[in-house]
Amino acid sequence: MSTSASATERRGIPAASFVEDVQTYLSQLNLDVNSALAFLQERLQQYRVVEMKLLAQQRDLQHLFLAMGNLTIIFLLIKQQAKIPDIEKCLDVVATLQAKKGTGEAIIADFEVSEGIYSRACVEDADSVCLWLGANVMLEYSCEEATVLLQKNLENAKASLEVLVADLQFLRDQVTITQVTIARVYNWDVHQRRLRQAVAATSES
Amino acid sequence: MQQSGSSGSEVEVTWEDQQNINKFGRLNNRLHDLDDEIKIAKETNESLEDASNELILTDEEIVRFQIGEVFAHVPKEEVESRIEEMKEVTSKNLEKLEEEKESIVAQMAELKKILYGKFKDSINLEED
Repeated sequence: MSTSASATERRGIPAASFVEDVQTYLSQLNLDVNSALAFLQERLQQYRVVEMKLLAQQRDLQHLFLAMGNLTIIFLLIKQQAKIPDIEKCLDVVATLQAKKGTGEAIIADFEVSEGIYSRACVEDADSVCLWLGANVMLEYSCEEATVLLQKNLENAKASLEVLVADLQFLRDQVTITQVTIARVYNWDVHQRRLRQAVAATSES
Repeated sequence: MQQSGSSGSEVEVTWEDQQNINKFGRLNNRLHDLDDEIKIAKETNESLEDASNELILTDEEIVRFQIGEVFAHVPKEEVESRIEEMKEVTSKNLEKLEEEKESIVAQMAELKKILYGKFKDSINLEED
């Protein structure tokens, strides 16, 4: 697990410093209790904003709906930012094409022309596939090259996902530390007030 | 999960405690994600079951099997074996997820013991 007591930030996210002693912390910051609490609350808000953003990105990569892109056996369309399940589907199609190549039979497939309208295609011998690379560019590849390219994209997407997950964990930790610090500063303040009241009470009696 | 302090308590929070609290939070998040993934895996399993049942009932020789975004005409036997494969993959996946969930629940129980031991009422580790 993370041992980053000394990490001051990660990919632009500031780390929340752990507070050993509230008294020292407050004098170091040179803030009174209320300002310190306000500062910590603001930090918390910033963390939450970043968290929302990262969660959205993660959801994109893990997106499981089957209605992305338009794939036909002849043209394989993948967007460069394609989601992991989509890349896996493309790999599946290429693999099927390669398998059928050996047998020499034609593949008949129904594909969607437009919503609710399907058409039949007959693919005789699949030597090459066309991959949509984004930015209105489509390149023709042999089946093997296509497999290699798709594998690479899949690995990149999975790596990005991992980095994202690590970012989110880091963020979560900082949020937790900040929440605990807020609670401790607040408690310390209450304790101080109690002490002052007790002192005032005894000096009056 | 909230950390709410009771007023006036003076139990100090050490870096080790903070790390335990952080770990609990991380495990809690992972637990929620796992629950969602398990739900999806179970649904996929059910769909595959339904699909293979439908297959048995149908009397057509050629079945339209979805590969990617298109439906390829595939002979019935091949579809059967493909569905069997997919079912195996999903059940293995489901097993792995359930195992991970068990381990996380155990770790969280451990941490709860430690943290409640030190902080008693000053900390709240329950789901709201």
